[in-house]
Amino acid sequence: MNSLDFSIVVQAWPYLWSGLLFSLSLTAAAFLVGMFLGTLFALVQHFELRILSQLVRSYVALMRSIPLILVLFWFFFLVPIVLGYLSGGGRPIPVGATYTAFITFGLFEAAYYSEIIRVGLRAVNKGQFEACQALALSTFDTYRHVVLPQVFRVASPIILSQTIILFQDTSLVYVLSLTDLLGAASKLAQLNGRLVEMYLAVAVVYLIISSAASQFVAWLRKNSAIAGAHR
Amino acid sequence: MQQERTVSLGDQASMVVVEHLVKRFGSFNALSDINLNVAKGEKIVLCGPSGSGKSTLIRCINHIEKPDAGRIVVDGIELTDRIRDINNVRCEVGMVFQSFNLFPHLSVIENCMLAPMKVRGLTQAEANDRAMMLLGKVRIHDQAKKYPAQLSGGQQQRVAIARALCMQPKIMLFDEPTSALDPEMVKEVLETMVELAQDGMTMVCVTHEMGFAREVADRVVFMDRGSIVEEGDPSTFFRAPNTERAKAFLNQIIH
Amino acid sequence: MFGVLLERTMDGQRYIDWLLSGLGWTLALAFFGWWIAFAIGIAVGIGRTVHNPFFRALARLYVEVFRNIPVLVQMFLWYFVLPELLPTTMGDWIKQIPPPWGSFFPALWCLGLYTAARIAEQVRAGIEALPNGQHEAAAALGLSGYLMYRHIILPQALRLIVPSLTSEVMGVYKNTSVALTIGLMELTAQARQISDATFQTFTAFGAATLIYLALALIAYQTMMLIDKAVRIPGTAPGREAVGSDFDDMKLESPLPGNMEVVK
Repeated sequence: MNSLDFSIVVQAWPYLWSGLLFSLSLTAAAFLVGMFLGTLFALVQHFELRILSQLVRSYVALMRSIPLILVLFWFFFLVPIVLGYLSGGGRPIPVGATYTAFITFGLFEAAYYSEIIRVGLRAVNKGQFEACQALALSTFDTYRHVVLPQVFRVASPIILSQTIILFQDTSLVYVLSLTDLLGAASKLAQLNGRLVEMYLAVAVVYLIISSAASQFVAWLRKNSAIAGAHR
Repeated sequence: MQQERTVSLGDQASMVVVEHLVKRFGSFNALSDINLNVAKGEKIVLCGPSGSGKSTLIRCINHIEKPDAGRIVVDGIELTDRIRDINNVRCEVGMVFQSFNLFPHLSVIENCMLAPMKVRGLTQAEANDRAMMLLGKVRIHDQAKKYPAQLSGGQQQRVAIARALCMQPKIMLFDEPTSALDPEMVKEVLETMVELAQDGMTMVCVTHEMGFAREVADRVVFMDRGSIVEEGDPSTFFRAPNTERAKAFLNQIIH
Repeated sequence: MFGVLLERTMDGQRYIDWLLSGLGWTLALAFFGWWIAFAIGIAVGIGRTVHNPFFRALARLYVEVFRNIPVLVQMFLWYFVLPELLPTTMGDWIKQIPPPWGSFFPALWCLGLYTAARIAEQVRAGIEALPNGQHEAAAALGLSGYLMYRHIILPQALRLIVPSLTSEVMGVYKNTSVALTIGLMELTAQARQISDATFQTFTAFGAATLIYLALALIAYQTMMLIDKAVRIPGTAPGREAVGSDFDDMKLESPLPGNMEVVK
């Protein structure tokens, strides 16, 4: 067993930190895009809009069945082509790995968030819809002011748990050679040869962040249970 | 956006007209050829054994249940499948549910302000004033900032009544408003309903509270298995019902 | 479109053979990884529910560590770091193991232990979902400890969690793809290889996608069959999907706190 020297981690910290920031920003972006699209997808299925609903369900099933790495490869290949097609030129637009990653994670997470929200929508008491109908509220107002707020409130622990999983999954951008936390550590390890310390440091950082976030979610769950019964 | 109705539609003798109403759930006939007229200012109590169709009937009046056949006219508006007609009717019809159906994530006052602002186009200040006034009428204005989960059942139901009244409906429908309440809270809700009746509101109530019916109702309508079996003024109905089924029903509930 | 798969490669095989070889590694990793995970997962899951505070803490620690570190990072720890941390002779021996196996075994243990943590949480939820009366009745009959778990608690808990274990099964074969980062030529790796060699990216990835979809379907149907086979007569169906609505499956589990969707 070679002796470990963790001072190398301290030295390397600025570079690792920039990698971590990338991971966090990717997580945040994927969260925002994923929640927005996920809500749309969930509503489409909730309203059972025939063809659109089928398309969304197929998309969600697909994203949940194939590995994220494969999805990343697919999008890396497809995004330039699709963008080129959309921009009317026909030529694939070279889009860097970074943009691909952001787009991919947003679209991928949307599938998972949409399932959570869809189940949440089904769980809303029918009486709430009837009360809105009796008050002549429009469908838009019903969902905007009564239904969706309740869904998000109830589903927030699960959504946050999913986001923690998302944060961990961002490490897979390694296969696109992007410099997230793991990528930074890997690049450094190749330079300074201190694989053990670098990778252990990465593991510890993920462990601390994910663990703390999970504790927060558990606390959130307990607290929203106390705050009044669900009527 | 629905405009405020400032001009009434003249002397409408009937606030609600129901003609040949039919409603089926699958193969089950919930309502068979119902005919009913409700005059302006009249208070009707619908009673009958469970499964008789009384809830279904009032839920058809504001189109929460969609009838399979027949005609419903509310305050001169023909209730068709068109969204505009449905919404127009719902503006004039207030409904109070057995399970209150308050919006748990909104405070009491916000519950009352939402529909007037979004549907009638009131400003926040106007909606607030109206809500506080009506919460005062049901004697719960001091709880305005509280959330439904913090209130008792009786208080929640009174808020539900105020919420419906904030739309200034011409007619109020009550679907077993006290059935989900603990006995000690039934009184406060019934008292509120009695005051409402005394103010001249047209009301159709599905209820088991016969004391309330005797005190307030102009007419009792007895339903059984999807049809109207008997109707009449309360004193006659309770003392000497005509039909066997009505007699049997009353025997069961009046101990 | 898929014709290219039947063409000859440089080393005399056809591209489809590459794909099948990849599939073989994927299946091997998934299969053995699952059983490791299942065995350890049950043990740790039980550990989370026993009275002994020491074992509870240990189990809790296990779950926290293996759930909160990403699979890829764990993969690197097994492949790069473990040989360094072991005594030099052992470490060197490990590093000498020739390519496919040198990647396969770290990947196997990584996947097994990672998935075990997730299964442990499901098992715990299943055990906790049982009414207290089961513990009490068993105790009253003199069954305690191993006997109680073996004959009363586990049979019921495991039946309860069959629907939610479905997503763990799917998670296992999806996570096998992470092994490509340590050099295992599993299905996704082979697809990329074919794409690089033939430039028929759509075909290569499309074939892999179809295979993964088939695996998903098989996994899902198998779990449904198992659920039906082990159902206790007289109980309601464990809220399974209506028709073949694939998506409802995971989230209709009867366990409320467990709605974490697995990748």
